[in-house]
Amino acid sequence: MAEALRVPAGPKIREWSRKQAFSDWMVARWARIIPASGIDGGLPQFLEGIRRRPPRYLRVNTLKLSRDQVAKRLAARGFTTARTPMDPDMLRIVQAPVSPGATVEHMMGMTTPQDLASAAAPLALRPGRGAVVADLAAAPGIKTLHMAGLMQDKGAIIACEPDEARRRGLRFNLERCGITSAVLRAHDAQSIPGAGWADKVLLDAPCTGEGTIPKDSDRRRGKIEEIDRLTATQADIVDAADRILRPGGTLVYATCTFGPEENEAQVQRLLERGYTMEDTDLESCGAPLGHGLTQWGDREFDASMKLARRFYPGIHPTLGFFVARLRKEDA
Amino acid sequence: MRQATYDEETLVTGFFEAADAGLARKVMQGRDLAILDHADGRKVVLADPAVWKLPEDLWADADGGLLIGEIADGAFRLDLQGAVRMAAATTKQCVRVLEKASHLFLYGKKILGISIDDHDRSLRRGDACIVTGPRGEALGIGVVIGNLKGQGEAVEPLHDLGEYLRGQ
Repeated sequence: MAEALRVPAGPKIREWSRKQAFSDWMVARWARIIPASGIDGGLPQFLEGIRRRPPRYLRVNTLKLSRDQVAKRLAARGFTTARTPMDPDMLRIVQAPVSPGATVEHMMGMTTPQDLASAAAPLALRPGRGAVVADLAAAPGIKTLHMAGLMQDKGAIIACEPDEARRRGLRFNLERCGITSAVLRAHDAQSIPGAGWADKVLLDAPCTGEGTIPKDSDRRRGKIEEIDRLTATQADIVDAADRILRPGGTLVYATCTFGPEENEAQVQRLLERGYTMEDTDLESCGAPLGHGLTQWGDREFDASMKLARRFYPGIHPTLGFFVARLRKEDA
Repeated sequence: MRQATYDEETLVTGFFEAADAGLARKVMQGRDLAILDHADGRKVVLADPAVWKLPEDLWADADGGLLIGEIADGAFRLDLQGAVRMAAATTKQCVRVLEKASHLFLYGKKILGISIDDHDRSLRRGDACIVTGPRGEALGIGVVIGNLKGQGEAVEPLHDLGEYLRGQ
């Protein structure tokens, strides 16, 4: 994989980065990425949003109760919630008298905290009842839960998580929510056996996590070399995803970071193998979503990359996210 | 993970049928019984039948399904999610508590007799029971330690839905 693009930081970016304790190389890259994804003039809003926590959301486990039933129960406990246009099974927390995790409803598996942007990945995948789905980097299981709900807990979700502590958390969440359709593999995604058995693959790839800076300020001072290290891992997992997906199957590639090396470049590798980009059916989240980049430095990406979608804190009421939906060539 | 043997299935379904006729079908809801063989015993899970159609090396060495109990010393013992499914289908072996007692139970506290709204009349001291909230939803598993209609301590918690979060 080519090295991550170094973008020179001008004096305004250097000054802002110094004051706000960000790595200036990161901010310089963002200043190019955001307009290239079709959001003109969005940088100031983004730079505000990247320093503040976005609204909080709860996923409703529709295997247990409906969204409106849960909203009513939470209201009785003093919560104020609102619907979200992008996802009918999510509630935005307007006011919370206690942590949502401390409620009986959470302990009973009726709700799970989830950022709205990350819901985009299962929504784009659209797994139906009875599907066989691979979730290649599953812990802590929020997207696994989401998919199980979309599948009405019928079918099979093969979830990979090699880290024992993270797998315990994944197991706990699945049990809490009453999920029967998950199989938990204690190995990394690259060593998942077999070929062509999955109808759908969700690859929420390990990444530099720049999109999570609003809730994890330690990531403000990242090293650009991390991008180079992670793109190699991402490529390996993409290869495994390609191997296990059946011809004609659907793959969603997602990350919570902004760099095209970790996003469009990985998707481009699949397009060069005959995959076709498909519409995520996600257009707006408070404001129009950004689209995938078709160029980054001296790299050109397929024109269809514009079907990928990007979420930006401050512009959208979410953390940062990238999501692309692809179809594997028929046999 | 493996499919339950005939004997294992009989043991587990027998447990539910002894509690209430037709209960096994309601708890399982079309899922298969599967076993996770651990060093400390056989865990019983509910799994979707779709799993067995996949290549065996995907599930044979994997965890999975919904844990509902375990088989130990020749008997089936209910676990938390088994209690959740059971309470959704029957009031047998259940003790329904008032709202405030629900919260206390989820913090690992004992239930007093005055906090009990209703209970299975066949429960006796020493019996395991499913503790439910005012809506009949399972909160956990306890053991009867006193008079379920009295003033004193009546149910001691064994397992509750709040214990994992308390342990974090």
